Amino acid sequence: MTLRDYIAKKKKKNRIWFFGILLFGGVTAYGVNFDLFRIIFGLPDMFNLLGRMFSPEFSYISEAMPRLLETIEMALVSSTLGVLMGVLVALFTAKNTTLHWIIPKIIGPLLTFFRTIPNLIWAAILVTIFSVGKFPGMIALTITAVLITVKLLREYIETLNKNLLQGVESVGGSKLQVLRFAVLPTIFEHSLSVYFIVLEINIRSATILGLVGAGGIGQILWRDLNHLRYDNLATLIILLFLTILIIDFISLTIRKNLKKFYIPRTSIASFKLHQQKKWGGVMALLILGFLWLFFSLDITPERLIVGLGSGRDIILRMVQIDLSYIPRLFEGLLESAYIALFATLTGGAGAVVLSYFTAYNTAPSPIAAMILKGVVNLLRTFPPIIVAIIFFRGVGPGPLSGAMALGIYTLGVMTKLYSEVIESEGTTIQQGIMVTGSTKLNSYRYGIFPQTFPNFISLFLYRLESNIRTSTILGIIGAGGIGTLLSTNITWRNWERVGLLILGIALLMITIEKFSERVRKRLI
Amino acid sequence: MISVQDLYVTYDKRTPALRGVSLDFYDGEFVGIIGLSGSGKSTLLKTLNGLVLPSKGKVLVEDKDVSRLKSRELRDLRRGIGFVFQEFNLVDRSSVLENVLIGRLGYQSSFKSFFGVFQDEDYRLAEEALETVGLKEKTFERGDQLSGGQKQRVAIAKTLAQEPRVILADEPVASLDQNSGKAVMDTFQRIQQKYGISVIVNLHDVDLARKYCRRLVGLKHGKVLFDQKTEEISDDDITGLYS
Repeated sequence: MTLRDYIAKKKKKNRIWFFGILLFGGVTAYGVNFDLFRIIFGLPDMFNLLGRMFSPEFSYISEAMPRLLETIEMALVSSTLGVLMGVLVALFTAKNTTLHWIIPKIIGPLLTFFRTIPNLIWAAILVTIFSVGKFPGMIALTITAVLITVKLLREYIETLNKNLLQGVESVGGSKLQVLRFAVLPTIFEHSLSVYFIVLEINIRSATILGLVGAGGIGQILWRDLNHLRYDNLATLIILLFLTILIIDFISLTIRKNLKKFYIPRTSIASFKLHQQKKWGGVMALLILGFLWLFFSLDITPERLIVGLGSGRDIILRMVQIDLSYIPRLFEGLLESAYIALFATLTGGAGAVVLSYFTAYNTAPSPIAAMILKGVVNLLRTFPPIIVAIIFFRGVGPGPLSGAMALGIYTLGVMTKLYSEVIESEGTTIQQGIMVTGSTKLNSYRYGIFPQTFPNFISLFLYRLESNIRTSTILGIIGAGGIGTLLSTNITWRNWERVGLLILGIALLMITIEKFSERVRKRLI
Repeated sequence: MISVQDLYVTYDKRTPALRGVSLDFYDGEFVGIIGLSGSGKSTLLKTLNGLVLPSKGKVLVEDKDVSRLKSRELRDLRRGIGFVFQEFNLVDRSSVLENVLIGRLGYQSSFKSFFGVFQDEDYRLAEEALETVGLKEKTFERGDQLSGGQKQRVAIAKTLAQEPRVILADEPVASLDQNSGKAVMDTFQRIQQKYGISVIVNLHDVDLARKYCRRLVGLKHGKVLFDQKTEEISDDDITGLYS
């Protein structure tokens, strides 16, 4: 290949990339009914809503407070129970620590299937079983907490060195003892940090579960939305924002300081005492947790039994999927996919630009980087389904609101993650290029960006997976996608159709996961 | 006494690691197994306590066939045999004391030990073991605070807490610098002389092997090349082993 060929090829390749992305973006924009004029004309109304958020009505805050506390309670209890159960499930289903090799083979695929069902859908179904209230919400959150914990922890356990396990096996320890003395101490810190990650996820989910009647502040949010009380909505949104911010801050502080927790003992006696105290403490905590759960639940035993009965009926009907509904299923899935793709593409493209100004080593000034970091954190604080409500004010319900809300969230998350990649891996490459007298911008364009491109694609694919999951629920509030079909069919109790829709979502999710796994493997 | 009879081990049904090894190990010995990496040293050692199972042949420990034991019996066998790994295999996030107490697990019921309940006797043995390896002052430090040589001595203390008849050591000094390696080998020598525990150690450093072991077994391509008292080994034997 001559130099001239190389240059021609390179130019062609760049052009194909550029127009390919543009075309793809165009198709997805069409898919979500993108309309620039509608957005522009809607801007004043949206700004008006945003403006109101800065003058919250204090009288309404006192009305919303009990609901807010209920939301926090739901998140705390379900995270605690869910992570405790999740740790056990993870230990027994990881390939290297399981008691029998058959267990992961059976439970693994089952968990993968359950993980594809968004927790708002869990909640919506559970509400029809156990009636409106926080009980169905708690169960839905606990299920998600278990599933997330298992995913995060099982991968971690499977990377543990075989040596660690053999160290206990070689003294004649049983499998249970291997778990207790080698695995548990090793994963303890990681499990704590998983707990706080789950808590951060669950506090966000808890705020929106009320949209389907599963308790918490979302219930009055939904009511105000239906009554078009945008003044109250503004107050609720700012309240939620502050709550999430505070919990994130506490969680981050604890996660950062976990390593410093080790207290050395000074004598065998004090070590023994500490051991007893530790187990006493854990037991007390568990009992207290269950008592708290028991007294905070708004459900009678009779209602529970009735619910379990109707739950069984619902599952039996769901299994007999309604195949005549397949055309509508594809319609819904396609719209959801458009929303997710549009959001990931626009958010991702925006993140490439915004990350340059947000990473400390590339930003024009550290102050700008700091301000932008704050903005980025703001963008990713909100559950997209709430941001969609803000867009309703401007462009009305429909896929465009959902897509833009998801796009903004994606922009926030991807900028945060990618700017961290630039900060950790970019400095040496940047120096290598800057010494030639190049500008910062060119060192990014010709050095850092090509170098970290695989990381970027990997982040992009993870976001795509997560966005497809989110796009399936946006329809519950009317923001487009398959969620609209789901929520109407749940309301009308067409369980055969709900069964088909859930199966369709699961298949789509699993396909995307497999696809992105394959691409990621090829990149590395 | 451990008796290895015509032992074959094949990994993945293709790569042979041991090809017909027969050896006897007697109580109270200090034996070194030497050879190139890939000669089957590590595999041989791991068959002696059932971490690796033979594809043909037998390993008899006190006249019991290791590959025929049920899991409870295998665990009983293992608690009488200490095993020291090249990479120490400690739980880094647990304290030194907890790591040594792991040596007592074979004597505990699963249920009781799950709550971390150990008897006074267990603590006494753990303390004594740490004293023997000279690390008593590190008892309450976390595993990851120690140097490599210290970690290996904690691993030895762990096997001592098992009250073993034999200690098997798989390349115990290969990950250590010279001085720490010497300290570890001195520790083995001390416990072999003090308690009469037999020590079987894999080494690739011939000088170390000659200095500490009283009997040397040379392995080459999965077969025994020589098996003699250390002073009877000639330089030609060694050259033959590494050529």
